[in-house]
Amino acid sequence: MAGLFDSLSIAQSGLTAARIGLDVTGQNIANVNTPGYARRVVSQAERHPLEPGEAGRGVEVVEIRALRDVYIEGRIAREHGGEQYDAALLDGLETVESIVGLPGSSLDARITAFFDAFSELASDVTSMTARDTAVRESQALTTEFAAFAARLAEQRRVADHSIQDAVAELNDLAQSVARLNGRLLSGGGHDAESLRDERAVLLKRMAGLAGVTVVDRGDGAVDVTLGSGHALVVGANAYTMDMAAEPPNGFVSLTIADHDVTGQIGSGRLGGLLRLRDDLLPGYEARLDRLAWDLAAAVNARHAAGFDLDGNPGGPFFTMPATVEGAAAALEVSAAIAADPRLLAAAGSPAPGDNEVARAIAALRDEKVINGGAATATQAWAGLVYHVGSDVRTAESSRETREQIVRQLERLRDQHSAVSLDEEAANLMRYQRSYEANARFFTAIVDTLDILMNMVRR
Amino acid sequence: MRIIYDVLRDGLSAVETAHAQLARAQQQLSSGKRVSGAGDDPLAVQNAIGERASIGAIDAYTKTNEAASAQLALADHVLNGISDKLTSVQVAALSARGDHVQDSARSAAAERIRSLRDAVLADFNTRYRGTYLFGGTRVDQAPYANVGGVWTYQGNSDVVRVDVDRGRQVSITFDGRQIAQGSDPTDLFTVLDELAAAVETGDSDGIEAGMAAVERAFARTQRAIGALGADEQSIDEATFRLASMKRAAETRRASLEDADLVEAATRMSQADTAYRAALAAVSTAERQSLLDYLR
Repeated sequence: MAGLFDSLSIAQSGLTAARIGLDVTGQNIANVNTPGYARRVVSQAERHPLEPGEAGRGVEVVEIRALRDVYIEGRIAREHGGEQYDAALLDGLETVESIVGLPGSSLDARITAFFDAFSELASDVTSMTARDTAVRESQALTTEFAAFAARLAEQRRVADHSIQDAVAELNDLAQSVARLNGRLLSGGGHDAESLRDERAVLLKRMAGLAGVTVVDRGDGAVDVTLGSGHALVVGANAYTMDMAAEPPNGFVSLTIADHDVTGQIGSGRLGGLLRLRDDLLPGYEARLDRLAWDLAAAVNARHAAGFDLDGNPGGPFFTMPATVEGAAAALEVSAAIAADPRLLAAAGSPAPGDNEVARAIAALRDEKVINGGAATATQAWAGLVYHVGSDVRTAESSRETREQIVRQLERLRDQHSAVSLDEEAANLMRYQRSYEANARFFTAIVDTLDILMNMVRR
Repeated sequence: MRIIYDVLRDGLSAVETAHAQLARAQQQLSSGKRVSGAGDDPLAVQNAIGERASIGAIDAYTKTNEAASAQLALADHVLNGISDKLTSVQVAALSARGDHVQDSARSAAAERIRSLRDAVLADFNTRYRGTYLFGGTRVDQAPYANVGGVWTYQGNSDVVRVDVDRGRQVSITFDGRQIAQGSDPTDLFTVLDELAAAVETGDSDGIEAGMAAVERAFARTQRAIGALGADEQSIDEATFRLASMKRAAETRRASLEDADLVEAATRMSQADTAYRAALAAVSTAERQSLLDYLR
């Protein structure tokens, strides 16, 4: 039969449980702002009596659990990957948006000035001033083409550097996750929940970088794979994503275990950067090159049929590269014409006052000579600007949507996992009262024991 | 149900959204522009580029019209001058016709005709901004010159045309021979030389033939003046049409690019209120805690 000393044991178990409750509450409050921290709760259970007629043996703390919702965490990671994809895309696109500028202050103004110059030349074809102006405006146009091409190329280089940084970070994160997996596979010790918190943060960062898929192995570890199925982490092992510079521009390709995954990363910051570097920016470059090439070819065709101020047949007005690719960067006004505007073949016949070619070049303003007759030069430029603007808008809209989704999912997760200071304040009071009551019970038993001992002494 | 209010996530997000709207309204008001980048309204930006290109083309045509108009006005003046001089030639020749005219009077009339010939020659060799008006496209040398005692047309039969509007051209130089000779066997200067000689010698048949040739030259000049007048009218019409088109294009461009300042000011006021409300909401929500009541 239980005695008073057993009652002391009950009081002691209650004091211990209340103290642990206070500790857990304190831990929760201390980590209220810690990223990835899932609130801890104390699971208590009654210590059952060993013999009939006993009240019981007090209370015991069965476990301290971290409250996580693996399903929501997985969805947050997936959406976070998409959000980072859009953010990376938008960062790059907003730079391109500033490069294309606003109507009247960009390439469209140079194209208009170019045609204006030939229009003025047609009105006064023998004027050296008009010829000089036509040459200078043409040079200004080629300079603008080259500057725009250089800015796009620079954006691709920036994206490539960002890709390299992201891959290095992804590899570091994969190593860290594998290391944490290893510790959790070996039991994790008393800080298993802390390790899981830490790993959750790392996994979210990995998802943000490459939109990875996380598979719970059931043994405490997780496997991490790319969307394509290529593994980055398997248990305690990490697989490095390798980079190799590829010709002609030295941009890196990405491989995992010798498998090229460059085109297979469709989410996360890395996915956005790759889309920007390998799809959108080259698309803009191709449109710009086509515009520069077709415009120059149309001008050259008319110029070659003309005659200069001395009645000699005209050659090419623009010096063009061998291929359309790179035309915007390489286009130049013929060095001979730039040095001597008399060589500008503005006439349709050897008569010096003939202005037929100048008129024909000025008339290109309204002629659909770009993309096989699909657009005028200005329309082609406006089309490029529209595409950039449309891509910016799509990325903005997609990012806003994903932000809302992530925010909503985080609210759902927080309902389950986040620390509520109000709740912890209530717990604090509850465990404090519990401790006080257990302490009072302990004192009562000690007093009772004193009474008993005094009875024995008499 | 546990409700968690995260100041950073929920509160600041609302503040940031309101602040972004405020900044956008401010930017529109200060710049006067509705769009600050292609992403704001891609279609509007695309159309605005098109409108600006149209305005650029209209400006170019307008400039061409101004230059062409000035050149045609000069040509008109010159051709009218030639007409007047040909009339004077007729008067001088008429004064020398008949048996009663004394030799001195015939000599004076012949001299007057030669003087008028030189004046007409100067008219045909008129230059504008360094180019000859009546040499066709051979604008670098005088249309008519006496080469080895023979009057020679040094121009050609082409003309310099300029575009005064889409699909509308006018000639700003002229085929001088078409006016000075036309389908006649000899040019006006040879005719005037022969007429002066006939007047000097009292050759009645020569005077009659010369006067008839001058009459035909006068008619050709009048036709040229008529054609030129039509071109001048064409330029005026084009200029009027271009001005009207430019006003319309400017209106469309402004509606695409420019901010409605009243609307922007209203939006800014609304955004300012929303921004203050978001700040107040965060501040209020952050102050409330059960901890305050447990002391």
